[in-house]
Amino acid sequence: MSFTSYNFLLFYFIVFVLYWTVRERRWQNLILLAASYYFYGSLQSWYAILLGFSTLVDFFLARGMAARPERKRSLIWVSLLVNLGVLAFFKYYNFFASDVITFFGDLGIKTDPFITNIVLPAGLSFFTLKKLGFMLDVSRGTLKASPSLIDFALYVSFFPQLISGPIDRAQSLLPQIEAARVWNSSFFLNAWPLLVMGLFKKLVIADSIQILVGRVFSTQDPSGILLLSGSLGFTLQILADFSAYTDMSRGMALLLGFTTPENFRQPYLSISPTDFWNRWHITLSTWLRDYVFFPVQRSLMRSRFRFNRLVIAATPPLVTMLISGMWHGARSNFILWGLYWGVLIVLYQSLGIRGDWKPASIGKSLLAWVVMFFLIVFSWLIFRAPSTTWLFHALSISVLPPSRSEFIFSLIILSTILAYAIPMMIHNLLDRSTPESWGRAVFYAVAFALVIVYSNAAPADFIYFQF
Amino acid sequence: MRLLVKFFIALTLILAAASFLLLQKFGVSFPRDPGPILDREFRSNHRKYLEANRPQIVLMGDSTLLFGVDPEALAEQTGKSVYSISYGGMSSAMWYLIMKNNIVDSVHKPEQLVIVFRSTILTAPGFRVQGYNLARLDEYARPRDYLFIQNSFVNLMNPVELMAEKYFPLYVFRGSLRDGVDAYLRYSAPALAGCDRGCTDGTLYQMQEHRFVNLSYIEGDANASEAYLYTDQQMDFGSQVETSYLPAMIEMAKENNIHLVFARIKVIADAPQYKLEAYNKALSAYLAENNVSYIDLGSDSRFTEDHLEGSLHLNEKGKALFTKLLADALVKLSLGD
Repeated sequence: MSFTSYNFLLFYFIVFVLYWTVRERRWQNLILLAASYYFYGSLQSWYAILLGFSTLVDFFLARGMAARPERKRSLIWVSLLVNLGVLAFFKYYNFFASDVITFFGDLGIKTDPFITNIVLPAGLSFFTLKKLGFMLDVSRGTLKASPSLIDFALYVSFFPQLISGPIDRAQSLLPQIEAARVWNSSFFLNAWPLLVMGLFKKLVIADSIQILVGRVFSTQDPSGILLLSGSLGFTLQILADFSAYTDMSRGMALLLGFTTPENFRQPYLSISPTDFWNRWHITLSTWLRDYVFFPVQRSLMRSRFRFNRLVIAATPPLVTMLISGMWHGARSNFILWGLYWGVLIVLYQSLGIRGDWKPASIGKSLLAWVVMFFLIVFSWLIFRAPSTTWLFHALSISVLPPSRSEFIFSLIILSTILAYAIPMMIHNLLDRSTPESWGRAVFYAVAFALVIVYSNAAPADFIYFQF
Repeated sequence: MRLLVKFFIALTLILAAASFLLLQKFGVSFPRDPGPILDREFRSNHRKYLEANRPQIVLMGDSTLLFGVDPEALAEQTGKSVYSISYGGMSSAMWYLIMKNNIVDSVHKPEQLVIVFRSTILTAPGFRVQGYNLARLDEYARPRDYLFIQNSFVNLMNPVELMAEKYFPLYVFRGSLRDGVDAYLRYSAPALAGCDRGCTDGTLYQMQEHRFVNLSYIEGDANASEAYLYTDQQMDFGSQVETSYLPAMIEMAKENNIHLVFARIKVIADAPQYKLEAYNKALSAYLAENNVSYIDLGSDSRFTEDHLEGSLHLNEKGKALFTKLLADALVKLSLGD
């Protein structure tokens, strides 16, 4: 059930009506919990079982920590083992699938190809991080273990965030779940622009660009210009696609009375790698910062081995970004992509450029932006490449002159990217204008009309569903 | 609140203006019957071929047939002339349309019409009927091909779509509008570089050629669209058969004295084996009940991974084996006749 499907629209409408009809908070939470499990189970019924099982484990472990603080250390290890174990199993299972077939084959057991190709449950990476954040905070004593299983289970499974985030913190979402919620018209007034923009970015921009990008990344020997246009296309596609999902998720949560965090803050205007990660997939970046970066940095600084300053400065970003790459999946180019960002952050930091860096002049700002933009585009090339072998081959032949066909094809891609990027730029500019201007209203009206024109009976999945 | 009011005013004006302009341009009156607007032209190239060459066996199927059967070898092994109608992306809607508007319409009727299919494609009338596929289907459809419009479109529409199809010009003509935008984006920039429409089309065609494209990289996308064939609904033969083209195709074959044969080809399906077997059992029983011949090579153990290229297509070795087994079965069926 994709957010852009009719089935989801129907599902959401029923949930919305039921939810606001009952006024009692506990009933509202029960309805949302049932809806979340139905939503998740409708993708695959065993997904809901897995979600329920892992939620129960963490709930009781957290209660255990609250009841027996002296056993916090061992209980948090159990939680880490279960959560990371399940995540690693599903993320990396297909790596070993051929060995599984051989093993069963040797035993004379014929395996069903379907079983040997287990897919990663959608959203597992997201709700695992949510739960881990909660458990680590409880173990550190910065958060109280939720006394209500329903509230905790709803925090983990809240359907607008379940498949692709935002990775909301318990400190922010749980109090909202625990508080009474009464309908307020401001919910709708704040939600509808997010919903219109989400639909527009997904159906009109991302799905249109996707076809051309797919064509470039299935080419055997792409020339440099084709590689550049494909990478630029994917740069636009992934932002439109992922931010569309977040917009819709936030809009739907708002309609249910929940304020959830933003995930993107004009990331392609960044002037340094740290600045980029402060603007891109913000809830993942802050999660990694709080639960990986800072702990690694602290442990290095407090270590009895006296590491030199370079090691202390370079290790946390490298480890954090490597984990970010691995979190995206069991593919070598995700790991390379993570390392690439780690190295970039270290390099910029060694030049004294951090997230709060302000260039001295407009010229320098512009130069920093251009450099950073191309570094971002290159990162998406690594990310989208079908394999690292393909990537290195493509880069090695990228200096060769393109054929006439490739040149013309690149022109088509570049003009299409430009055409679809313009509305995103206009929207960014309008964000700085008067909140209730006619310009903004007309923009949303045109966007909505285009959603009708681009609506499709079989909408494509969101890119981040696969993570 | 003011932004919302302004939005509704702007949206109403845009929708009213768009509806007025679209009605002027396309001259269609509303409310209308839901479904795609099909043009008056339709191709009869297969009918002409049948009448000119009088083949005894006609094969129809998608790329699995293209990669899976050697028509010349089949002709040699069966001793009958063979005509194969196959290309990538064909589906049951296209088989129905070609059968109805070309084969049945032809003065010469083949002795055997063999539909080579895979998985649940026979009972999935909504498979490959949108976008570019619709343009191809339209080539073989008559403007009022009721069953085609009903099975492949109307039956699959939700109430909101049905309403929009009936009353809402912007929704009805969205395909044409999108094509217009696509064409503008596709041809404008190359024109600046001196490449006209023909040159641009040639370029795009060339970029799709196999020497440019690594098929293994697009297999993921292909598998994603294949997933439609393995949803619980599609795997439930009983609920799908009456709204598929199967009953109509069987009926047409009987009325025109054509020996209709369905042949299942080997693929690696992304679905549990027991569900595939249940579907196949139900299909087999249905065809037997209707006295239709069924050659089931889909789970034949003589096909191994050595005979496949990817999950959908047979390689040269697989093609030779499938052709041989199909020929043997067709000869047997002819003798039975």
